[in-house]
Amino acid sequence: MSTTVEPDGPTSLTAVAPRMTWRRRVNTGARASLSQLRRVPRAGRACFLIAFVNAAIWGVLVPPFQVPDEIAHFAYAQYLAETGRPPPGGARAPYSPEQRVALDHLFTFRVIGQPRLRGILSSEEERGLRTALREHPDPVGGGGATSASNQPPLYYALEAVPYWLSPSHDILVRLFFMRLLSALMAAGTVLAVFMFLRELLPACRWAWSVGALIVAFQPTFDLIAAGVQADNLLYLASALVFLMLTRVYRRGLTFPRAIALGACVAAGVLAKLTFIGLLPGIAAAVLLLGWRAAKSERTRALRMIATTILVAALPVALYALLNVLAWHRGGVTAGGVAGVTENALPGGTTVTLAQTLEYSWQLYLPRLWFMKAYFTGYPLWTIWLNGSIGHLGWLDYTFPSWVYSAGRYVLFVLVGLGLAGLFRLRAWAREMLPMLVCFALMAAGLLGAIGYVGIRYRLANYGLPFEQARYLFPLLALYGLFVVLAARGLGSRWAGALGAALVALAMFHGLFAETLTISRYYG
Amino acid sequence: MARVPPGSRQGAVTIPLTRTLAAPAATSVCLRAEGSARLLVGGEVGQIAGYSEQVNGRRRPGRISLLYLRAGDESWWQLLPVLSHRFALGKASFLAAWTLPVLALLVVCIWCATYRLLVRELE
Repeated sequence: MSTTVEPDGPTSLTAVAPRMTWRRRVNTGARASLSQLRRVPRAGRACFLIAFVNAAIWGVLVPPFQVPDEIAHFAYAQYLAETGRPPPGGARAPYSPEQRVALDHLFTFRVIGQPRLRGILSSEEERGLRTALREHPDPVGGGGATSASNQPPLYYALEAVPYWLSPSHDILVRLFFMRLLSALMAAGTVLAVFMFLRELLPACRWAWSVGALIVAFQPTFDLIAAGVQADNLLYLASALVFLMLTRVYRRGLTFPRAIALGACVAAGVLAKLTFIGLLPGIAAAVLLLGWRAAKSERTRALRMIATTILVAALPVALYALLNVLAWHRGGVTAGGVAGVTENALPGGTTVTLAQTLEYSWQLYLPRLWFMKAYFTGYPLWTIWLNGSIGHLGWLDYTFPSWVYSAGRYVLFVLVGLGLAGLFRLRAWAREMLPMLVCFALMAAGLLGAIGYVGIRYRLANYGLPFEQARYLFPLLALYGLFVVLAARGLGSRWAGALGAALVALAMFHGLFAETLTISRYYG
Repeated sequence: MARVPPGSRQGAVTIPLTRTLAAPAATSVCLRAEGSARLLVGGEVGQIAGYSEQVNGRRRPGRISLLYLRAGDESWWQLLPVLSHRFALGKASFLAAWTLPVLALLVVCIWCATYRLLVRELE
């Protein structure tokens, strides 16, 4: 081994050289990440902070376990934090004795679905809760099946960090800090929307903040951000994918961008299986980006596409292997995909393709004369629009009906303005058309996935509704874009003012939802 | 002692009590249905226990749901101290009656921050 060291030159001490290179690479990477963060405009950082504080307020506002499915998501996270592995599912106790005690003394199951009922309202009931928790019931449950146990573990693994970093082992203190992590993810989503709009419309500075703030004050988004809910990571990963695809489309495919795009896709799949609905559109977008890059250098483009696919696929493959070999969760996806795509129903009947198509059609479009009716109202209004305006809590309290009627008129106006805005920006739209088509494919994939899963859920659960507006929220980046286009509808002179007015409307909407929440749980 | 006039419909029924009860409120309530109408009482099905309802003197596997309302009429403004107290219950132990006013202050702060941000970005 050579030990010659040249004074100002590279060392030839071969045993040391690789470590130095590795360290230097890590340092360079860290410096690059920091400089990327510094490159986020001040307005973007402000949007992030506003969104975080707003989501944290919601996190304190909504009582424990009153965010949809929070009971199941917390149970998963607690099991993973306590045992180091995801819950096995099956016919075991789904909640830990500690969570069970908390749920009972908070009267959680009595309050859910009963808007006239309240949780703890008196000091006596509070003392009962504290006394029961002071007996230190076991925080390790059986890991039995819940609505979340088939999902991948990434969100829950991240939630294990605040669970253990919590200064107290009290379940409610832990829940508080876990909710803060969700608020942080929501703020990350808002920042991703800001950066997405910045990539998409670099000349419209006002549009970045307007689109991001519209998302930040969306009450249903904030309700989910208030709780321990894997949707928060799903929304973040989806918004980041929209951002990365646009960035690559605008600036070209490089290795760091290929890795970042692959990592965002992997995070999405490992956050919640709903993300799979976006994959066909993402695949089309990656092919488009590769094809554009191949025009200049074919081999390099192929290598970068392969890098994206590898970075996206490897963690997912590792998860699948662990599911089968280490965690014995019953299948590659822990039954997550099979469980919701099974054609055979418990009663012995099967879901046909015609049923799936009819149901999926009616979810978004008016029913045609030959179709069997699956809904009493028109889901575009009753589920998607009204649900986005706000079906709060466990869908058990709502705005007064005039809010939904007014919301429909606002939507009509926004759609008209949005089309006008798109017409005004037609040169931009032409330039972005291939990527916009891929975005439309992503949206169509998600809508199709909701329909595919929804019909199976409904038929297997005797008509119990499956659909919720929050399932559309992986498309929040497009919602921000839609509002920006609407603001642009009256022309560039009025765009900023109209955008600001729409943000103000969103803020009043959010404040209304907050006061409604206070009256629901504490009034 | 309280009485509900005839003609009540299915759903939540408010019974106007003639005197105010101190907390903890009555834990034993006698409901008497006059006339021949069928009476259904909402609540939860469960095992027979000390708190279970009794129908005609026999315990039944369920517990009825009763909520005591506050006496008189109050505006939301008058109710604020009560809301602040209730707001801290059933949450992380370090949250207290100050939480609701602090949250209101934070809402004002983010509204001001949003206003400033928009003004700056629109210039």
